[in-house]
Amino acid sequence: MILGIFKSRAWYRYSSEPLAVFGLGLLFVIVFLAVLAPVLTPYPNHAGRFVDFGNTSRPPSLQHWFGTDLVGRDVLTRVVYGYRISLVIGFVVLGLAAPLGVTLGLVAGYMGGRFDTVIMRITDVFLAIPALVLAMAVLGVLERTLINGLLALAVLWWPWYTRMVYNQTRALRHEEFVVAARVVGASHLHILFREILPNLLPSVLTKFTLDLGFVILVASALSFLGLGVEPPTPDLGSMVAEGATYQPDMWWLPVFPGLAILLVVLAFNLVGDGLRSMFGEGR
Amino acid sequence: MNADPILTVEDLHLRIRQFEGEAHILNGVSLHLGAGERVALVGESGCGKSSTALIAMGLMNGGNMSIDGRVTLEGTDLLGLGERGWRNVRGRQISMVFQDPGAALNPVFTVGDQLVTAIRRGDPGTSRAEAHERAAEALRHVHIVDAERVLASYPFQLSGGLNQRILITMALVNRPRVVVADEPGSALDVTVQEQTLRLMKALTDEVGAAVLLITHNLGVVRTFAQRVYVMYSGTIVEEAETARLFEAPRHPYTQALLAAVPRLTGEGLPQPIPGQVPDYTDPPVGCRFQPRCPHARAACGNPPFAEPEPGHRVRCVLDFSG
Amino acid sequence: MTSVAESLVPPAEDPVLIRIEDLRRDFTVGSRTVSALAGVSLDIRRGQTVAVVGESGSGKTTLGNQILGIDRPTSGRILFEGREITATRDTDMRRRIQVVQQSPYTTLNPKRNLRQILELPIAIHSDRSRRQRRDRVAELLEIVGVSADFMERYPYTLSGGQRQRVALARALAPEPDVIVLDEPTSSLDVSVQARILQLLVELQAQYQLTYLFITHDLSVVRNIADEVVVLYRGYVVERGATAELFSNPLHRYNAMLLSSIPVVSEPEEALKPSWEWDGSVVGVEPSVGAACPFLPRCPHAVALCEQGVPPLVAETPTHQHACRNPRSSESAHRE
Repeated sequence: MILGIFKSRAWYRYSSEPLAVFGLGLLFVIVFLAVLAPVLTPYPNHAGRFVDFGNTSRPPSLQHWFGTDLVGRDVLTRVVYGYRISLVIGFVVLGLAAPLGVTLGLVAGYMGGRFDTVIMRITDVFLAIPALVLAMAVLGVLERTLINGLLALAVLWWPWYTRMVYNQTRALRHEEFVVAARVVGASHLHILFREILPNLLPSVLTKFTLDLGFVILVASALSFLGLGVEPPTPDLGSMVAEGATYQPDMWWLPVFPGLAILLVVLAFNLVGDGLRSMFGEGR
Repeated sequence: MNADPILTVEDLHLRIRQFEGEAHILNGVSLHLGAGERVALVGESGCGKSSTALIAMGLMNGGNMSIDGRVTLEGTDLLGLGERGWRNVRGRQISMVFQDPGAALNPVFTVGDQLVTAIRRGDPGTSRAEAHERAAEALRHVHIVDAERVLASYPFQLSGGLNQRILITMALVNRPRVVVADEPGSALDVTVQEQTLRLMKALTDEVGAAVLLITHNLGVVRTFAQRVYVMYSGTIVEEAETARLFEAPRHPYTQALLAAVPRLTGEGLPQPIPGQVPDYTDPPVGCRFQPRCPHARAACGNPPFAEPEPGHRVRCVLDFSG
Repeated sequence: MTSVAESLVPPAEDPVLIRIEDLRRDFTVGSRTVSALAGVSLDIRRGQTVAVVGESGSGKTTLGNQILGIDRPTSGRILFEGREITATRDTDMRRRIQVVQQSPYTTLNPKRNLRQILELPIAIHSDRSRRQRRDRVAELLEIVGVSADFMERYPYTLSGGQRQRVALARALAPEPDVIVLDEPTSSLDVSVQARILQLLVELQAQYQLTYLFITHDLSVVRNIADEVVVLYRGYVVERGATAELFSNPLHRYNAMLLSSIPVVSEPEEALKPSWEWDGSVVGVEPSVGAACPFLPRCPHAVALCEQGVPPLVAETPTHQHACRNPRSSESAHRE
């Protein structure tokens, strides 16, 4: 059954981009590791409050492939657990931002008039402020907790969905099938969510995938600046930041989490590009 | 028919690999244009007429396509040309008029810029000022009264009819030997289409350019072309002088196509052609029209392109003219 | 077929279904006001096919949108069986006027299958159960000649002709009185067009439908319409029984339109009025103010043409035109 996917038209299109296939493979590995982290990592207890002062700052070895950190925790374990946090951040942030942004964009684009003016001016204001600055401002005011960090990022991200969906909705609302639905007497709700939205889902999904990478990157950047996840939760950005202080002696501290960030962002980007070419060419 | 063909297409095959399998889009298309001759390639959507034109313009390529056969312009093999070789041919010896003038002209440059570029591509020695003067003259020549103002305008500021006129001017400004016109004016109103065709006729006559007119509209064929090729599912099924084709069409497809055209004389509803255009990935063996043909019989097979009367050729085993 | 002689002098059994009174629709473009409809009046009688012909910018689609109720006029009235429907209409009124559009590629939502597409109007306009709706979808598909097995298919798997059939089924679903046909065949190949036209005529007879046929294709109109209305820049310039309007075009614009139709036979060529094609054009046509809208393009204009917009005058009981120097008077002079 599942193998049937590989015979589908969609897969035929997607697989025309070899890099996209590579990205998908990479993503599967990352998700697999993150989900099964407690089973797969050598020292699951190192993900939390664990200290082993007899084993601090060791370079990579057979026991600790990525070495150990300043309090003797296994870096490999913490990198894999870091993926867990990263993925959660990505999905939660976009899970909040995308539906909100999409709905606002749909309403503004389809209803027009006052809805258009109010929603799109607010969107413009948010888009005009540099993203990172906005998030830092939010986190400066609020308490530095994981939840607030997620909210800050979501506030940052929804306007992009609004803008994209708004433009596409404007183009679609005079499309013949929308007019036909109006003539038949369909409600606005039906037209927005049953007629227009399904046509936008491919581009929303593509953007969502690409953005997962960016959100993880920005979340890491915030952590790096000390505005992110609180210790001892393993977070890739914070790990890079901590490690950066001890350069060049303990190179393994920032390099492995840094590489991990690079790989996950790359994977989401490649998959996003693949989706774009899968949805892109016509039907 | 003119003695020396200027453009010839011989046994052209186009195959495209798709998800559904390999589609055999063009199945041995052969045609020729005499110098200064107006020839129409007519057929319904998906018959391969536009693919033929695009191949002749060197505009059809892609990793999933294979093109076989020969296309020659005054003896030069066009299929073997690289992109650089094409640049010397396209716009100089062979040029194209597209269906939608709005899409064919670049919206970010003025009409003047685009015409000047076209002129200097054909004759690199021309200065910008000279080229501009020639452009203005060319527009006045196609009866555009306020030429200087039009040159300074962007395409979207002008009407579709005017843009079509500009496109035709641009296609002919370097006095090419062949113009390929893909449904010229069909995106426009009938009154504008009529004027477009008149203008094309006059200008190509004057320059001595041959025209390959790609169209689905039999009425347009009748007013414009001297000779016609009828295309069905990637094959040429009939070739004749225009008057002869409309008087006495021989191929059952041509006959059916004519019967499907609504008449101004008000004879009632036109006759549909039963069935559907065949699937290119799995076409019928032999005559591709056979499944829809009212005269089909066991003997049909794979008919040759026979010439039952001089200049009138038909790909059908039976002669239905009587 | 009903002749228009009866339609302009209506018998009791052929009443006016839709009456359009002095309909005007202005659009603001920048600082200018453009009238897509500049005062159009029209009666559409039950069971008839009225063709509205004109080129782009003639206002024919705007007129269709007014009748469909998806756009509102600047002034004027639309009456349905004597009831005013200009500003508001209830669900039942919406049911009675349906549409078939031009493009087989955009008229059906690519993300919805045929069952979803056809169930929508059924669900809105009847209280059928889920199962009954499904049966009705199958029935509708059969009516338009598409296999009911296609119910779960998506539009991209259908040919252009099949899609237009489904669009027709969607229009039939609410059991309407009137269908606005907005260029329903102009994107189709002639062989497919012929089949759709046949289907339209069969359905009209079967369900007593009234058609408003909006098109630029006069050859189609000649063979399907009872009455023709020629629009030019928002004005009705000629109107009449089909045969009469084609055999004796009076307005100069109508003559120009007819003369530009590409035809496929000598007898048709002989029917086309002659037209002196003067090749010159200017980039932008000057606005004419209160004059005949066709004045800038008309080679037969006389001084009178600049004095106000010409009103419609009756040449015969079934043929009206708005030309100050109509073609008949000239050919009469010549003869």
